[in-house]
Order: sequence, then structure tokens, then C-alpha cells
Amino acid sequence: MEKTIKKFWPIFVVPTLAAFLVGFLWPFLQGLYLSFCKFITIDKADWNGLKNYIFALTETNFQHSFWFTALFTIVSTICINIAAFAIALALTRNFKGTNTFRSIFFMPNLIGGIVLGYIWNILLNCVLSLLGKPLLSLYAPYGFIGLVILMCWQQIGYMMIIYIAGLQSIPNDYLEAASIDGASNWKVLWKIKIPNVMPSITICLFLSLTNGFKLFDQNLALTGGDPNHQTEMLALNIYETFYGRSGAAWKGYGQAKAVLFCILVIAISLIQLRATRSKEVQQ
Amino acid sequence: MAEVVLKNIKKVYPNTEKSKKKKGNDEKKQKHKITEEGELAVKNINLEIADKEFIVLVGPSGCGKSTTLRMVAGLEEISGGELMIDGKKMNDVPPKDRDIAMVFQSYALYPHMTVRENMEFPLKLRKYSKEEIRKRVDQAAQILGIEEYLNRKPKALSGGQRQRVAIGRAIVREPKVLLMDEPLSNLDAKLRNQMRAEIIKLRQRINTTFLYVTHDQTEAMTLGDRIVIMKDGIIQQIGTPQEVFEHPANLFVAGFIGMPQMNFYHAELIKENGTYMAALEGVRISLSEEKQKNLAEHGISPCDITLGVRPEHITLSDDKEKSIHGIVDVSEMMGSAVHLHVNACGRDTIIIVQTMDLSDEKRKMTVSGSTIGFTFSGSVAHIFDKETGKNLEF
Repeated sequence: MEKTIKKFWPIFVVPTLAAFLVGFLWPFLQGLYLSFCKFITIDKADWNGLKNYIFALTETNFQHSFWFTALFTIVSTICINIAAFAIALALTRNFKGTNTFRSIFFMPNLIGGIVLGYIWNILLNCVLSLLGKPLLSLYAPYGFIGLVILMCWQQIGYMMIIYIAGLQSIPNDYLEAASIDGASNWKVLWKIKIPNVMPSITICLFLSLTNGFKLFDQNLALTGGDPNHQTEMLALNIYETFYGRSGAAWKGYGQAKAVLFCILVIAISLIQLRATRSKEVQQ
Repeated sequence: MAEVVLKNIKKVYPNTEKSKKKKGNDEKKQKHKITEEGELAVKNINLEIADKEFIVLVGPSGCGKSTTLRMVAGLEEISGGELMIDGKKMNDVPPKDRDIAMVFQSYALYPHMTVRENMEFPLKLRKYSKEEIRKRVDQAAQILGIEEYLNRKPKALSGGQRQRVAIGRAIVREPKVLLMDEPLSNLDAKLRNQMRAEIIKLRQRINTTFLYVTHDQTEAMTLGDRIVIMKDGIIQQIGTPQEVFEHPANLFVAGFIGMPQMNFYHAELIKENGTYMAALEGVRISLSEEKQKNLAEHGISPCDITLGVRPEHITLSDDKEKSIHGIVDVSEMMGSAVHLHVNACGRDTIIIVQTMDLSDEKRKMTVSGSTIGFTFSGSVAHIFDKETGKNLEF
């Protein structure tokens, strides 16, 4: 049986390999090449050397977007994960209606980012106007807080489900042994539960970090980068560079920014995965 | 070191909406004792465990032995009755304040901690000094022979080593009562025998009260000072291993204790000239003086009985008139003994014959298909009520 399968390996390998090459590797390599070019369409590209990268790295808006995105990612990752873990802890204590609550908390994740952005734009602006404060697109700190609230509302339910799965996979014997050993609920949480849900923490941190960095549609719908690019995150900045301006040079700048963005997200994800994976335990 | 007393301890799992809706048949409801109150897992357990005594709860799956142990540990709420440890009522005391330690079947070692950290954990929680913690862990590690594994994580240990660590974590605190919930069940047969001996040695080294749960009657017989045999949440008999083996209180205990299990026959209890005899397949077996006395004391009249005889108490016999006859179905050579499965009295009878006692002539009789005669003494026959299964001598 194994021999027969080995004989026909191309039938199994070629479709996936072809899809990977055509759909991912070739566009990626071409994108990498175009980041060094001036171009309008991909078949009319002129080599531009490192100029695109020098421009991207020295542009004030891009630098601001980077720090804004980094701050947003840190704040939203912390808020999302703490809230999701707390809700997961509460919903794994066998009380009545836990399944209903789980469904309710998960629901916001089913709504698309653009729709959520517009809904929260209306909601938050209503509240701000009632309080006599400047609207989201007029005052960057409120825009920032609005984005954090929106992301938390959308993602807490999703992360909660992952944490619930992690908490439920902890063998009950550990918790019982700890209670006999003399551990309080607080000690059980820190010494037993958290170390044993490290795989879930790894996944949730990875997802919330990458989601935070890659955030685009919620940013576009909630603030659109206003006021004056102050709430513009990296993905929106790249989009604005690429599509918001005309001229061959801007496409190249946008492409270079996109490559830098890609490297940044991969690097941060790898560092995070490495840091948290080392703390994971095998049961 | 403490005395443990269970007075009328009861455990009822309340009926949930789902379980109420479930339409089980009456037989099932009867077996699981489902009442309006809920499912009765343990019914009025009365047990006094003396200080430093080793008590083994034994019984088949679902008999309530683990539930009883977990109630003593505080992991299960007690539905009724009183639990006293060292003279103090413990019903509502949380597990950490009962001064007990427990060894779980799954070991329950914290996978993210090293062996040393696992053993230190209960001591750190109780805020012992660093020197005291080190001293106690080293001492326990030495007793259990796990000194060289102290810096390993549990996943790098074998089943037997993990079990030792679990015991180590339990004994470092020097608890008043050491609870063990089927601690050897996850080990292979060879390791289980070895660990059983280790527990006996451990018991001699640490002076504490042991409450041990197992479904393995061999473990129960070899470890316990006294054995508590349970079935369907009810204690069937409490006694020393010798007592429960020699004087089983009922058919269940007789069948559960002993390997291979006791042979049972439909027989008749008769009385001739004031002497009780068991009549089986036309063969009359005179009962021993002790049995005569016990039966007479209880005023037992001649009746249909279930007669029980252990396989090791049956002897092969050439006497055609005084022996029961059957055909050997299967002959299992176990080395020092042969286990014969004989079709006699309309059922399978197991006979253990020591190979060193076998003459060449008798050896030929132990071959499958051959007809053999066997008999047994009245002193080793057990007389049970045919209806209730109760030992008529009790």
C-alpha cells in the first residue's frame, strides 16, 4: 500500500505545490522585486535600488503609524487577553447558562470589521457628543481608545473560546491535588492553571499581536486615520501610499512599506512564539 | 497519625433535569439506586479506622469506594452522616485543612514543575522554612529512591518513578491520613508487584493512617490490615484478609476475594442424626465441628443452599463413590500448579492442582477431555443461603 502511494507521489504533491508556487511564492517574490522598482503596472517596472526603502524608513507618517500601531497592539493585546481569560475562568465554573453566555460573547466575532467600525463610529460619536467631547476623527487619543474598545469587543469572544478549551483540558486531578496540597484559589490560578494553559496563551497572544499589527478595515471605518493621519495604522498607511496617490514612485514606496511590514509582523510573531513556547508544558 | 471515623456516611448525586427525563428501565434504576432524592452512590457507611491502621477499600467499578475516599479527602460533599478525623468533625472542612494527603491514580504530578518542585509545593504553600523543605524533600526522596530524578520533569520519568514521586509529594507533609486512590492501576503487572512491596516497606517506615482504594483483590489482601469490601455503595464485609478469605459474609465477598474465584454449586443442606451435611450430586460432605456449631447456633434448618469451595481446596480423588465426577475442559499449566476447568455438576469448576503433588497416573487425568473425580473437606466448604446469598454461619 505504502509502495503504491509512493509510486504516485506527484498526483498528491503537484496540485498543492502548484497552488503554493502560483498563489503564494511567485506573487511574494514578484512583490519583493517590485519593492525595489518604480512601477504603475507590474510589467512596466524600472529598477529604483534602495530608494523606496530609504523613503519609507524616513517618512514621518510611516514612522508615526509604526509607533501608533505598536502602542495600539500592546494595549489591545493586554486588554483582550486579560478580559478573555477572566471571562473564560468565569464561564468554566459550572453555573447555569454558561453556554448561552459563551455564544453571546462569541457573536461580535461573526460581524465583519468594516460593519463593526461603522457601528462603533456612530455609537462612540453619539456618546462623545452627549458628553460634549470632540468626535473620534477630531481627537487622536479618543480615536485610539475607540479602536481599542472596538478590537476588544470583537476579539474577546474568540480568544475566550480558546482559553475555555485550554482551561477545560487541564486534568481535574491537578486542581484536586493542589486543593489537598493547600493551594488557595489564587495560588491554583497562578501555579497550576496559567502554566497549564500556556499553549492557549501562545495562540491567543500570537493572534492578538498579528491582528493588532495587521488591523485595517476597523481602522478605515472607525477613524479613517483622522485627524491628519494621527490614527493611521501601518496597514492603512500602506494602502494610502499605494492607492491614495498617483504616480509611479508611490507604488514603489507602498510596496517597500508592505515588505517592511511583512518582515516586522513575521519577526514579532516569531519572537513571541519562541518566548511563550518555551514556557509550554506537555501533560 | 489519627483515627478516622465514618458514621452513616452517605453520598447522593442529586437528580438533574436531564436525568429525571431519562427513562431508564426499573432494573437499571434499582442497580444504581436512583431515588427521588437522586442517585445513591454510597449508603450509610460505618467504619472506624484506628490510628496507623492500613485499611483497603476494595470492590468492583462503581461500588462507591473512590467516592468514599474522596469524601474523606473533602473532594466530594458528604450528603449525610459524620466524618471524624482525630476526633474532629470534618464534614465541612476544606481539603487543605484536613491534614490529609492523597495519591491519585493518574499521579497528578504538575507537569511544569520538576520532581523537587512538585514535592516542595505543599510545603511552600504551608510556609515551611527553606531548610525544613530541603530536609523533608531529601528525606522523602531517599526513602523512595528518587534522589537522582529530583531535577527532572515528570514527563522524563517512567510510570513507576512517577508513582514514587506522587507518594513522595504526599508523605513530605507527614499528614495524619494518607489516602491512595488506585495508585498502582496505571502500572504494568510486574511493576505493580514491585510497587506493592515498596508500599509495604513505606508503611513500615512512616507511621500514619492509610486509606487505600483498589479494585484488585490481591492488592487488598497483601496490603491491608483490614479490608472493606464494597458493592453498590454498601459495605459487604469488614475484616482482616484472613477473615474475609476464610469466612466470607456472602456470595459476593466469596466470589470477589480469591483468585481464581470460588466455585459455587446448587446443593442441599441436610441434617442426619443431628449432624449437618452438604449433599452435592449424591455425595454427602460432613461439615466441620465449627460449622456444625455455627449452623446449630443460628438454628438453620435443612434447605437448598449454594455451596462454595475454593479451587485450591479441592483434591483429586479415585474414590468413585465419595467423589464428584466431571470432564476436564481446559488444562492450564501455570508452572507450579495446573488449573483445571472441569465440567461438573452442570457448571465450570476450577481446580488447582500442585504439580509437585501429581503422580504420573494423576498427571494423565489432567489432560483435556479426561474424566476426573474430585472431592473436598467439609471444613473448607462455605454454606450460603440460596435466596439471599448470605453465609449461613454468620
